Amino acid sequence: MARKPKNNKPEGSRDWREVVAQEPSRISFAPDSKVARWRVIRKWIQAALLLVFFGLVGVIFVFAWKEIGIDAETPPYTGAAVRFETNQALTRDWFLNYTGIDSGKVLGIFEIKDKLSQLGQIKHASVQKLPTGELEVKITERMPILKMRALLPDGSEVNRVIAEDGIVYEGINYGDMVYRNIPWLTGSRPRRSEKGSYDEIKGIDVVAKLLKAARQSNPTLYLEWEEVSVREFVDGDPDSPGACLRIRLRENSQPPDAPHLREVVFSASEGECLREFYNFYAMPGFLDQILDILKKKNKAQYPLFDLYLSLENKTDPNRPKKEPRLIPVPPEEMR
Amino acid sequence: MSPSNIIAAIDIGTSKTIVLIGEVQAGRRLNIIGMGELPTRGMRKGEITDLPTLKSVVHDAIHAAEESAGIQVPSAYLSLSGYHLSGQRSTGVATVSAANGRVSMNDINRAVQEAKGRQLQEGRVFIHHIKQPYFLDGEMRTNPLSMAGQRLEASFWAIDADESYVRELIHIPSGYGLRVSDLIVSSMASGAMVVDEPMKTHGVLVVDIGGGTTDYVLYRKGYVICTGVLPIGGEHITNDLCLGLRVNETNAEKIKREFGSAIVSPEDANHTIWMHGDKSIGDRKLYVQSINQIINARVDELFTILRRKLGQRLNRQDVAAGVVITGGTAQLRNIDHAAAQTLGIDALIGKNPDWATEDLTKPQYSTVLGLLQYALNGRDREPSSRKSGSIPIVDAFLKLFRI
Repeated sequence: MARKPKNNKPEGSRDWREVVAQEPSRISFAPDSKVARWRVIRKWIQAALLLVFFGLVGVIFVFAWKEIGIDAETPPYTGAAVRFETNQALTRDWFLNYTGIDSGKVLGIFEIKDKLSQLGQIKHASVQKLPTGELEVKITERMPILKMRALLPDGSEVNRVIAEDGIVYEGINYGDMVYRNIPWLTGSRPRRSEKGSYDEIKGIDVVAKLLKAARQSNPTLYLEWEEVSVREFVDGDPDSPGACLRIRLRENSQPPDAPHLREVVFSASEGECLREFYNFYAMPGFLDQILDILKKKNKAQYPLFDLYLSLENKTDPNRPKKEPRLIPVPPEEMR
Repeated sequence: MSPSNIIAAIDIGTSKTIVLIGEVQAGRRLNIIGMGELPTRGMRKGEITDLPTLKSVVHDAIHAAEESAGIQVPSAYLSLSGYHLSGQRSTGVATVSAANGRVSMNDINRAVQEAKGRQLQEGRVFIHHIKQPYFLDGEMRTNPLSMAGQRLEASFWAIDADESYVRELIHIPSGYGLRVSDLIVSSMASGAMVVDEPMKTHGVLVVDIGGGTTDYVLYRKGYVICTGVLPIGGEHITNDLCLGLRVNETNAEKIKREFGSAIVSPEDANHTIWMHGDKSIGDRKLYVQSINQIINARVDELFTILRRKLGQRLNRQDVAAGVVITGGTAQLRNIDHAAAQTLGIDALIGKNPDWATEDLTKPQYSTVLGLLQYALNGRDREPSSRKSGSIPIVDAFLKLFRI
């Protein structure tokens, strides 16, 4: 709207400020403006996010209510109404027997969970009522990495397995092959609690990581590992001075076309500089290369192959190379 | 960050739309906190050809600047260019009425009112009234108050524009919710940026060669003597290359930027370049001499028209500081030499001041930076203007143009 000229303006003056009206409005965007489009999109995104949020809250509420409701009801579940899933050895029959459901025992969800969590073999258990009225049990079992001989209070000896987190437990439903494929742990004496069960073995996670790496990178050779000695594995720290893991291999079952190995020593503690270059857990991946070297050189008579890596290429002492190399060490130079 | 410390500037050029948001810091320092820059669409050779498209581009540029600054701005200073702009010197005369023969404030006001009272044609609006020196009995005076004399003459350089164009231009930021604090003619904004007071005093011609138009302003003895717009710009050079070399617009623009020169040198005779450089299908060998001849013809035409427009006002004595070239086309190689050859006075490429960040030192940003400078100067005058009861915006205008 044009305003009247100010008093100090001469008559007839047509200044743009007085002639052209300004009516700024944030609403009237150009229809094809990105800004206008973005505003519309943003509104939709906001609405969608709100919907997702309330949906999630609803789902959480329904599940929480369901668990609480079941626990309060504590209905008698029969075997037919149980769905059982696990990642390893335990079975549905074992579950029904263990909980006593097959013999008509009445248990609530939390009671079932408590009972399952008492077993060292079970890492995590999820128990819930399905909308169909069935009981769903999902179990994640621990991965056994080592086995050991345990002395029972009555004086008898039994096998126990050690999980990657150091938990010692009785391997339920583990077949002979499972036991056969797990190496023995030596050089460590796990402590027993007052109840008679074994305490968790601290520091075994480092060994577990190495064994896992070996199993993945060289499964054939790993099956020949009979014994893992942690006697010299100080504090479970591969970087501790002198720390090493000694693996003894089976004597009579190694492939005939491969060099015969008696012991493999893993160590990453030789000097500070090595740490920069060498990954302890990558060592098993080199085993194939070592075997190839030995095979080609027909030097299978070495009783021990030391994985000590030098930063200097030992093949030519006059021209050392600053790089990690895998060099077979003759017995007379071994530590 | 107080909203009162925020100023914004919008420069809608034929080839680019640039929006800057600045924060005024203590000590009258300006800190650029937001920038939006987009290729302009909906405008050709300084004229609006597609308003909705142009609106959307400008809105997006404002939005980008606001996003980068993290604030919303309520108002902005807007540049104005185009061939529709025209300027005229208008004078007003007052006889000194006091008995003692000395000029009073009343005499000055009468002379000013008469100078500003020029009638405009229907459909035209005033943009600026730029003060020129007073003449008291034929002698130039900066401030004739209390001086003895009989005949006082006040004069202004009055710039007017097409009303409908101004309406459409103001409608663009208004649609985004921005109020236009002031419209500034592009040449004035560029001039405020690339030349300093001593140059203005010695006499300098500022030529802002944009994409579609060339804006110019001539300063002498510190005052604006004249302004104008020529409907020739960098796009015309590109267009000439398209026709002359039979290449598309994109390639012509690339050739102009990478290989073009405003003057033809003897070394160009046997010099060839490849259009793409990778000798792929469609790549062509072009003679640099041909390219530069085409460019030179248009640049020469531009400066010849400018010389004719300015006539006797353009001479070495009165324009001692020479020609300062700015705008996007100022980046064309040897354009300063071409200007010097045609105009017959020294020429140089304008440089933006040191406070402009590295990204903004290129000559195409001189107009938008000049708008911010104008806004900054305007703010300083506001408190004193209010005390004296005058209009703050007028005082801001007075300060920049030394009225």
